[in-house]
Amino acid sequence: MTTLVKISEQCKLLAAGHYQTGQGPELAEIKLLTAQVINSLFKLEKISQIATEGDFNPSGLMIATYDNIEVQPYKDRSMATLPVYPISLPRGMGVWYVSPSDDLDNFFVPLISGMAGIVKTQSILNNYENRIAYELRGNALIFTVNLLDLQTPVKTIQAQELVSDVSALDDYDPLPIPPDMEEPVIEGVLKLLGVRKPTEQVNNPKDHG
Amino acid sequence: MVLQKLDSIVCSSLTAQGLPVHFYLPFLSYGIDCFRALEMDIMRNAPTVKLPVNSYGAVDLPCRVEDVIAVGVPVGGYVKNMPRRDTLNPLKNVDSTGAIVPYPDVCQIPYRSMFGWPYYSNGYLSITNERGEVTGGIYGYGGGSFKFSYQVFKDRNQIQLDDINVDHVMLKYMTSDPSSCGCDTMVDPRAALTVKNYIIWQYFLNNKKLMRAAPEFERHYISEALRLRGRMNPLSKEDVVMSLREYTQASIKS
Repeated sequence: MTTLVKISEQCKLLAAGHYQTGQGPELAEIKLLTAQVINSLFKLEKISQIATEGDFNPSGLMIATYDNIEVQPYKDRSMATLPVYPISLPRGMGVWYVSPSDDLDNFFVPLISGMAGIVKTQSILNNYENRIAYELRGNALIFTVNLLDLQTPVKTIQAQELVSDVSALDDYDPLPIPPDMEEPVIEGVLKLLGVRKPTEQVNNPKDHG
Repeated sequence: MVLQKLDSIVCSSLTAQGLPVHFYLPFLSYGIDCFRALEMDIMRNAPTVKLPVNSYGAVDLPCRVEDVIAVGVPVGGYVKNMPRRDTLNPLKNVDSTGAIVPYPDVCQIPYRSMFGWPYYSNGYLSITNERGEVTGGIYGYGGGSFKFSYQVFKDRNQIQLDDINVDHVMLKYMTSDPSSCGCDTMVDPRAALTVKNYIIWQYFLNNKKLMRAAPEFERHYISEALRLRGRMNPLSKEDVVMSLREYTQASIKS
């Protein structure tokens, strides 16, 4: 299992020869690129999973959990700000699961943005079977009720996002990606750095006179 | 009575299809559609309420009424249902001051009203049993009462009674909106599998990639709905035996 530093140094070594100074890019820069490539690959993998197999269940490695996110009042309802922007997926699946911090099985119902107003007009449905729904706007979750005004107020929530939050990792923590994704990550980083594999030259006798 | 939450059926359908909570809302919407259809056709949830009759013999319908099943008057521990008719004047009768007043009584045919019960019995003939049902034997007379009847006027959101000599009526009505109070929607456990099959069928039907398989899931739903109809049949062996015995009488052997 690789670490962020390990995979970044691999990229740095591979890229070093392509820079005139021979130094290559800074390790910090490569670490950032690595995180970006991992998220991009996660999204590609997830979308191809949905498109080809109809399988919506992500690998546990793709899920980053953020606990104790504070709920704030917002107009006549409430909102919570996610620490990381979720990746863009159908039906807002970038935010995988949201629940109160102290009642993890009592999930909030995700709504497509703008759906709350449509649902409000429909009897029975607008009750969400006594659950609470939310809409995703940017990195903010807007709830359909004020969680702070409930009989048992919900002051903090837990959110699971489909994102590899490398910033939360130490340099030597195991990188949360499957082993078969390591090579595409390196390739992706090198591509972003503008490093290209040497092309095969055709041995043409005419070139040698 | 054991009931199952619609929420648990929706979650069960999500589990069966391996889908995340992001499909909860469409699945809940399908479940509610099915629940309403079943309430109309098979489950027939029919509450009864006692409603006051106003000065001109009309009764305001409660807002949850989708169809009127029966209108009757309370008689002790029984309810005497009225026949429905379709010739009452839908327009309200107003007097010179603009107040709504009942129409004048034009049904003065005595032999007709004699058969009505309990308000039109003439007191001389015992033609009804203790539940007000005509027992027969008055040959040549028409049975039943034309006067003791009602008509539903949906445009007025009222039931108009032909006879206004009652203070209250018992209304048995059909509704498919039992949880308008904001409670959980409760489903009869016998119908749970039918609702679940409907949800899955609709999921396939509304998914462009999966809609080819929808007819198969439609068949599953229909077969489950037929099974539910069988489960809901209340007829028991005792009902059949009692029905036979009720109309069996001793008679002179020839």
